[in-house]
Amino acid sequence: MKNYSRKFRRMIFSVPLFLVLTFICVSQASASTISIDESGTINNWALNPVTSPNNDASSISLTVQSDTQPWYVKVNDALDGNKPESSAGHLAEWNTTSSSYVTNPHVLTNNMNVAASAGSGYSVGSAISLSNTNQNIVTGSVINTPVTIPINVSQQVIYSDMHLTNDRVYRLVVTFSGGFS
Amino acid sequence: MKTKLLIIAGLLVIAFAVMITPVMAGNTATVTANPSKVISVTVNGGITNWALDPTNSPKIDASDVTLTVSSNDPGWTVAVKDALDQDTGSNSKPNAGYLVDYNTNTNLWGTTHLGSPLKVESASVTGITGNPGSPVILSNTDQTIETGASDSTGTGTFTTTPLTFTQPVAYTDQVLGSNHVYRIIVTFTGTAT
Repeated sequence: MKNYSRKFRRMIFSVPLFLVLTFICVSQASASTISIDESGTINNWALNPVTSPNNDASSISLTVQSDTQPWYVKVNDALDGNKPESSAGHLAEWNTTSSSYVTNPHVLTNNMNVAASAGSGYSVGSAISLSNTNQNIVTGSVINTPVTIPINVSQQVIYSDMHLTNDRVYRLVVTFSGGFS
Repeated sequence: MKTKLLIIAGLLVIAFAVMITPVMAGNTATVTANPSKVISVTVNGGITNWALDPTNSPKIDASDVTLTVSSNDPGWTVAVKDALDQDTGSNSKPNAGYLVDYNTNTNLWGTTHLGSPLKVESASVTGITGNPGSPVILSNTDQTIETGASDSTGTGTFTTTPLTFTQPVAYTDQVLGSNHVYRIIVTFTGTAT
């Protein structure tokens, strides 16, 4: 009975200890934060094989704020909306009526390319060919100040990339994620 | 006691992992697009100094002219006509569909023409339906000689097999003097549906 009571007291003692440890850890974790606010979309992009590649450097931008450096922004095609894995990085046929990707969709031949425009407080790499794997497009050094980064999207089309009719368009959701190097 | 230590150690490992994991942030941008309907038609080659012969009529040329068609729109068409081009001369061509006397020195069209109009025919190949066996009789109105397939096999770039030009010749088609030839400019027009 005496041993049991001692064990109970130790357990009771360990609870606040654990809470204190957890508090410390959470406090440490919250010391490094980065936020990414995406702005803009590209709707009904009129792609043209004659003037390919087609570029859009004005529709999408990111506002990044971090309290730690160096930070990064990576990009991928996360296959949102049950987009077929085989279409990763490519615009794929989307039914605007049912708001879903088409089974066995038409897919543009070339991957979409994504890059960030150069600016102050961060460095950019060359355009990446989008895939379902995260790829770095920005490495930042500025902290505690929001920085706006224009995103350049480029899409090459060829004549065999079929024009879609009725309620069909090509669609892709680009995912941006931030973190620390 | 050992168990308790293990539990505490485990909790510390988890807490440490949480501590060193950076806070991630993410966001998405949606892109929707559609290629605009386009078609490009390139004419390759021409027929020059065609030796017409009334004893061997009609004269057929099935080797000198091909078309390269590029389109992203299934169901595209290519039509043909005599657009009565003025070309480099100062007067317009008369007699639509017929080869007409042309002065190679002055670049002027005359009025003499062959007795029969020119006919044009395109073979069917993968992705393209032509008009084999049913040549169009050339006029100044567009007439379809090729249609792209209505599915994705009708998109891309195609080079046709040589077009077939057929020209009947009769003894009444007079021989022209020096610096004169019979001439016509055939115009091909591609249309996306």
